[in-house]
Amino acid sequence: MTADLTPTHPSDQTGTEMTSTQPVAADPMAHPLTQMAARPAPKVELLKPTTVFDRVGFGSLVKVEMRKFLDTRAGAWLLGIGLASAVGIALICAVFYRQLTEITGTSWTMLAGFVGFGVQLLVPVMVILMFTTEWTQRTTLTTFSLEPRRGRVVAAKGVVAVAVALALWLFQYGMAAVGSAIGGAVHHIDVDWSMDWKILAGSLAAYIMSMAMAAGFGMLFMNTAAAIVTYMALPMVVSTLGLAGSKVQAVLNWVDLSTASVPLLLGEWKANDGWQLLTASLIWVVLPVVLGTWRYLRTEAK
Amino acid sequence: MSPMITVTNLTKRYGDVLAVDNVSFQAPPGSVTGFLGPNGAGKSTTMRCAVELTPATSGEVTILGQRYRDLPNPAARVGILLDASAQHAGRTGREVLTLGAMTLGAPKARVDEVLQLVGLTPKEAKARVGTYSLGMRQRLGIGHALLGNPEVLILDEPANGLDPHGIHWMRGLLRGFADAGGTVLLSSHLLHEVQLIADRIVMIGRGRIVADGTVDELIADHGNLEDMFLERTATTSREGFAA
Ligand SMILES: Nc1ncnc2c1ncn2[C@@H]1O[C@H](COP(=O)(O)OP(=O)(O)OP(=O)(O)O)[C@@H](O)[C@H]1O
Ligand SMILES: [Mg+2]
Repeated sequence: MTADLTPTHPSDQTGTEMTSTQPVAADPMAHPLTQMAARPAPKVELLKPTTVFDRVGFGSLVKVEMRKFLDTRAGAWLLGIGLASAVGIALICAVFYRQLTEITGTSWTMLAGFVGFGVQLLVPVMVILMFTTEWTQRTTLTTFSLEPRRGRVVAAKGVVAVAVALALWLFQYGMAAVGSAIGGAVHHIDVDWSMDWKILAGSLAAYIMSMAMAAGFGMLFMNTAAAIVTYMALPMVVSTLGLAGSKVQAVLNWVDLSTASVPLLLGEWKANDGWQLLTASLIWVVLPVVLGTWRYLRTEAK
Repeated sequence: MSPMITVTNLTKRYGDVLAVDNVSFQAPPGSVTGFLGPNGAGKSTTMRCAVELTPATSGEVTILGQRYRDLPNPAARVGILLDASAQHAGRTGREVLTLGAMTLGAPKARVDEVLQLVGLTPKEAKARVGTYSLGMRQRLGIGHALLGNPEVLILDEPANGLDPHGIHWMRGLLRGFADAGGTVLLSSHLLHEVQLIADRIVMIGRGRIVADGTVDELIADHGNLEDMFLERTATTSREGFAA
């Protein structure tokens, strides 16, 4: 190695190393980033200081997490397929509207259950990915360098999950209304447009709970496959345990979230329903979110 | 001037492995501090502890006088590149920088400035990081570290994978950065390169400091950094390569 490769090495000029330094912020023109790239074309360029936030605001964390939620192919495809399926199902329901209403009645909200099928399957997967890919793609190194207070990152992701739940709920009921309107017009059926707020609120609550559950599983496993499989399969396994007999089923009523959330979706509550929903959601939603958050905040990012 | 990175009695234990063993050193402003040591010596672990991605077992690191997490908008003042491969393969290079700029509060135009600085073409910037070569990822990572107005750079083997142009460019960049008063902590195995670039050397072996001083002091007896490295780390290096 020859010395002429070294651009003004301070230790070549004895005694100048420490004395020639200046405070960085004192003179913007003296900012360190004044060098150029040799690739692709070596042209001299000055990288000026930039404006930045005084501190990282929670709002920008939410914006960034929302963008990360959608800016990968996987995210775009899952959301696209989910939304397209909702539109497709709504149209199919409109085509077969007469047959459908003979079974389910003419309330416009009854289409929502069909319309939401694909969305409800795929969007929790997106929420799981939002939490797991940080670890599988090792972007935690960047994410937690930009915001070392990890709790704020988890909270921002949580806001995104709830916002997504709200948006999809609106979309699902919007498509249910569209499907009902078309079906009613084509088949000359009077649609019952009355608003059942209990069902609307209940289904929104169920949405938010399933997003929270997906978030909790994602944080707990930090691994996409494990989180998705567990999120999908474990509740089913638990439900089928009920086939073992009525005694087991009596216990499961307090444990199985899918049966416990039925009153939310039907808007009809019997004696113990509220308590059963509470215990089941403690097990499936609160516990994974609490344990998952604890793990997410503590695990070494590397 | 007071040191910009101060590592004080830092210890990191993984089970019965002492990855970092009571390490103390400082990186002063206006200089490039080379952080050297054999594989597994604890360089990356020390750097991760400095920015609190890894919780230290004991001891502490302050940067610009505070713990990293206590700096408001820390990544705008401390540019970090720990592992260029740690990016989502499905995002484009531009997207990675955009997300960083959005978090720091740097304007959109900054992304283009940075891309140009690190020599990624607009076409490359639009490609997904999964398609990047190691050197391109390294350039992207260096660009990400420069998004804010860093006064401190913490770079773990940034020259790894860079072509000769890139290495030459980075040498100029870091020199200019330090000469303007910035602080650079740089780990590397390219000893000739470090000898050209660095003012000071901190050397560790098996988690412990084995040398700390200016390059000139440390190579005085040996003439070059490589001989000095081989001697100082002889007892702490891996077996199997012994001549
Ligand atoms: N999660 C972990 N569990 C157990 N040991 C670990 C873990 N992470 C790191 N280590 C150990 O810590 C030591 C220091 O590793 P580190 O990556 O800091 O070395 P390094 O100096 O960066 O090496 P290299 O030059 O190869 O990059 C090694 O012995 C490594 O095996
Ligand atoms: Mg390392």
